[in-house]
Amino acid sequence: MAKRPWPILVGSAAIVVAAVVVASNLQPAARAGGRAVAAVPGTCRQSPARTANPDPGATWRLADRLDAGGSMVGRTLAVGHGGSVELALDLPVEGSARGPVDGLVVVSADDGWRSEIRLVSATEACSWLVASLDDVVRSAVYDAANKVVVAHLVDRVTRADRGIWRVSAFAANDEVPAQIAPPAGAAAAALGTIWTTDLRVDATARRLAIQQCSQAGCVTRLVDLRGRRGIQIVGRRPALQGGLIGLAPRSIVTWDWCPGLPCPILAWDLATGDPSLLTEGAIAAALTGDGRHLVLVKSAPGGTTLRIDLVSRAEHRIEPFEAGALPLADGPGALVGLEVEADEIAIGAFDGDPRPFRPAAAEALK
Amino acid sequence: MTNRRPILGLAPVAALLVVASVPGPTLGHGPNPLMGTKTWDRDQVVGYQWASGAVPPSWMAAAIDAAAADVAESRKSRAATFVRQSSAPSRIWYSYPSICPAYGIACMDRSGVPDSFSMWFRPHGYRYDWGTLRWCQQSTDPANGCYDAENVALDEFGHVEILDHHVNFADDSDYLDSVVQAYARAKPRTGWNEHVFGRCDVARLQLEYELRTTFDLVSTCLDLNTTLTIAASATMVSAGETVRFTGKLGIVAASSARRLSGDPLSGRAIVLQRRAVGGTTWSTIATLTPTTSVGSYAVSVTPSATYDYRLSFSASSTEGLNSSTSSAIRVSYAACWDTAVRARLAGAPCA
Repeated sequence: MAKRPWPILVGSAAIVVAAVVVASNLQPAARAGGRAVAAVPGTCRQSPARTANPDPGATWRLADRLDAGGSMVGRTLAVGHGGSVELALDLPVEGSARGPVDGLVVVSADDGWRSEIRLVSATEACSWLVASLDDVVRSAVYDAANKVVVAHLVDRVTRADRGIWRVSAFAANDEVPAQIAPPAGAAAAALGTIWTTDLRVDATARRLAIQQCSQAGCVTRLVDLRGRRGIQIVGRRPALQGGLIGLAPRSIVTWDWCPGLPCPILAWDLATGDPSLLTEGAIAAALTGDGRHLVLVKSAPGGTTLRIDLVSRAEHRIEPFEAGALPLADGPGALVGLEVEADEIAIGAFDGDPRPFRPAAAEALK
Repeated sequence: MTNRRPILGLAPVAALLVVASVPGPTLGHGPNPLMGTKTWDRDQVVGYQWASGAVPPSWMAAAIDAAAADVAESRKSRAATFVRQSSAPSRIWYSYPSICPAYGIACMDRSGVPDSFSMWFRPHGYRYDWGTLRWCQQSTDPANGCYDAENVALDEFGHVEILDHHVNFADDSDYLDSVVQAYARAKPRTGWNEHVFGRCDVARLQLEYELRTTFDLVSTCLDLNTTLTIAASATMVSAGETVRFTGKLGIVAASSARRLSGDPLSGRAIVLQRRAVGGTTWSTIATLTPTTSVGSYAVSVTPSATYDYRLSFSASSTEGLNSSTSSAIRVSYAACWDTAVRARLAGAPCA
């Protein structure tokens, strides 16, 4: 296993070339004007987005670090391929990882004073500082088609939602992010305090899903990344919608709003806004990137496993996965990521290496 | 002495009669909804252990174990109980990859019922959009805003049993009717450290698992109709003879009563009432005492005239039952019965 030196984001010496306090509500609190963190071993020489290509097998794993008393003191991110770790990185408690897409993992890290967004290349085993912000970056995703990083920010003091922002993946901490969606506001008024925000870019890179959940339910907003349409709200009755599973061409797939597992899975028709039931109960599910096939496990690992074709709605039972393996979820709670083809999902055990799985190729059991 | 003609027949009659129940007031929003359909066996002892590599810190472990004890102490039903064991099929994780939604501070998977369950807890210090998760038990002097781990674990054990979130009134004024809530309240909001099932949690547990004994109180979150039957050892008596009245009290057989349907009820106050023939006013003349048969009560009286008799159960406000009365049974009294009656009824008094 290769393990290369890696910059420690927390507490690293910060050289602020220029500080621009942006007061406008239309801009995040940012420090712009160049690289904010000194080049250190493991830093990419240029944005890895310039040369990035699909890299199936690129993976990351995030593990919480606890002190002796059980308090979370940070997270450890390992990026690599298959079972090998190419890079290891200590993140603060407020740190996230999403992807990989084109071999790039988008990493956010907040040290209590400033948040950074980095593109970490599993292919090149290096990282690139895209932005350093005064606001808190909760999470960020990579839109490979448009070569931008999309981030969710909250106010550092009040934790108020600051909306969704994007910055070029080629930026070197020298670009002021632009807002692409405001805070949910009225769309999520019924939710009360927001607990989590999930960002997903669909396979066509035309739609960004922003799902926000509270203890009362979830609401999803769809943003047209080409800017031709307004923001569509899916799920105005939040108590019906649970966490986002994925985006399909004509629907979004979510969990029902459940107190636990097993839980029904719903498809929300984008034309009507109405949900339809895909399955009565499952404990784990994942949707292929192209939105065609949903794979779900109905009971504990090794239990009944189904493949649902979202176009025909045909449902087939398929061979259960190996012991302990389940479809791996994407989203803010994900602790494992694996780059797969558009017609695949990632599966794996909690403590095992993830692997790709192509639902269409699975034999249907009778 | 005037001979009186018996009405109900010539033999000692066991008249089993159905009842009229008086609807009670609506209490709260009712029992918690069901989460799934599978239950544990009644009184099943379900073992759990900490998951390898995800053992909770001592303060969290104590809170989870305490919540398991809270289940046993407050279930008021034959719902399963939970006990930590050195080796068990059910696992509890602290800070570990899970299949839970990101917005939860804890969650569980009950797809393994009746063999196992899984439960997860987010670590102290975990970040959400709004800020930092703090468990109260992590500190000896927890600041406001923390979540009580024992309360949250009890909520999760409630789900494991079969409880979905309670449906509160719009103003949440009935929040304390359940600890199995869609959202836990942080300190110091009312209910933040409740460590017993609420009455509507108990109601659902009773519906799905039955009462522990027929003497147990039915949750006031329920509104169950009762049935009371009456039987008399004789319907014709003469001077100095006694009649033994027996009654059986139970929950009306109905699908809405789930597993409580038709169950007997013991230890309740049942009284014997009588009225004069043709009268409309009932008077209580005795209180029945329990017999050795569950849900059964009896009393003996010595009539001095012909009366109609009935039994009455007046439901207490401390439980979710509706009052009921039995049908009436007439016991005819005569100093002596004539020869014709005696010929038809062996043992009829007087020669």
